[in-house]
Amino acid sequence: MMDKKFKLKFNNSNLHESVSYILVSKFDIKPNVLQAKIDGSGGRMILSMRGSEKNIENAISYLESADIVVEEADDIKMDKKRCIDCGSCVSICPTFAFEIDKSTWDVSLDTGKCVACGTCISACPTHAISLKMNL
Amino acid sequence: MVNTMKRTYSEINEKIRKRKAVVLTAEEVIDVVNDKGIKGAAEEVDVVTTGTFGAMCSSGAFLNFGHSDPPIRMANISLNGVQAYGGLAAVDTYIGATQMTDKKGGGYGGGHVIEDLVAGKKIHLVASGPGTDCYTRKSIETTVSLSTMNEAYMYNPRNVYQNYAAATNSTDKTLHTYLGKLLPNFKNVTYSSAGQLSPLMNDPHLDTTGIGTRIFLGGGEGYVTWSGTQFSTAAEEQNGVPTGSSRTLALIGNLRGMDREFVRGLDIFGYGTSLAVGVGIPIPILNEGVMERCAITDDKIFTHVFDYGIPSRTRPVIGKVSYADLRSGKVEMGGRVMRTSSLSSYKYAKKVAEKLKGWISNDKFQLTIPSLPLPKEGSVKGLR
Repeated sequence: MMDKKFKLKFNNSNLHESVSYILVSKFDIKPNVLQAKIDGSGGRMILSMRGSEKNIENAISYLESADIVVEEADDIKMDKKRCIDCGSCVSICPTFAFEIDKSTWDVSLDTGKCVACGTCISACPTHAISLKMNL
Repeated sequence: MVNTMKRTYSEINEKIRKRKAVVLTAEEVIDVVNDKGIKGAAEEVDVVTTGTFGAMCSSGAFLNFGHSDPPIRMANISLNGVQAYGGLAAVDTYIGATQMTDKKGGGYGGGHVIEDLVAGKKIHLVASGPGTDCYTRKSIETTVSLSTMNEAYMYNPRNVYQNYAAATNSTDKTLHTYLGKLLPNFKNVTYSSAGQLSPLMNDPHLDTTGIGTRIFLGGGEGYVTWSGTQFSTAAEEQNGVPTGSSRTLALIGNLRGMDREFVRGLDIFGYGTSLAVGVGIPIPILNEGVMERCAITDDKIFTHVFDYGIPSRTRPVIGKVSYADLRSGKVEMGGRVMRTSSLSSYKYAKKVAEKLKGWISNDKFQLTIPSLPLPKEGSVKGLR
């Protein structure tokens, strides 16, 4: 199982596709739409996929065959050279993506749990967390 | 308890010189005391090292730039766009941790200037002055660094707060405080203390820490110079330690010799900038009483949780919790489960205590007898 985030670009011909339904029913993938924007010229979506590496690969091939542009999205990053392991990010994350190890007191980030809400960005006093997930 | 064991500073220093001193961190010593009792531990252990690493806003550094030719009496001084004090002699200044950049966007301040200096980076200096017969020059723009300056020493008027409030938020809006981000409706609690590792929790009545005590400051060597501002002994005690903010220390140390790892500029969103400083104080085990106080554990140290949603000097208390509970990741209060997180780093506090232990064990750091004791009493006045 793996978690990966992608940026999807739709055009007018494939805008009607229900990507989530296809991912669940055809590829056994758990999709999570993190951001989406649709206008007259098409649409863009940041989508997180959870599934086996093979299924994710197949899903991407399928989406590309439907003329949907798939790019790997920039994920949330934690710069451990800047991080002082204070834990400011821990209690404010709605999806418990940050964890503090009770023996080493090291703060770690599980990017798979992150839904890109951005709450942690301003909570970090050393600017150690970055999230460039623009549509 | 009857004190049977006695040890002197010179006996401890003699053992340090022979590299035979038994030095443990305030965390490690807990197991020894549990195992051998106070008496057994006191006989075995010579020195306990403490540590803390967190935002200490009342921190800064005195700098002397040297004279330009022709010379200038600097009255307005900026370092990397951060204003420094212009009210000292011609080329002396003080840069404070919370002074923020004049540049739009912020995110940088005096704390970061100090971190950059310690890291050996070049700093952009812009200064102007009135121009006098003895200091004819009126302005200067140049680059300085730790190696180009004459003196550069940290002087922190208030550090190592003995305990501190924990914070929560009753309102329906997120608050951005010096204790971090507080989510609405009591969703989280934030705090800032190294608890059982914290210097003044292990020497709660300042029996061994006094003026002149040599310490670990920012990765280098420093000294206790005075009692810190807002020094107080008013807080109620439980298990021999105060349950609220109490004693503080003023500290000094050469920026040269410090390590950027333990001197870090902070940008606390919505509050401003600060400086995280690593401070470690060695405690000589002079008798069993000192040993007993060093064995304090997080479950015996309490603090009050205040509602920072109420903008008053006297914020309402929501409850009392131990640091063991705070460090567990959640606390239960008034039927609510609140997630907890710290603004100070326990990992770095441990690093400080371990580093100081290494110095003492390897005869790189000797203990000093305080020149003067710190006040036995103190209280804090408000402002009308």
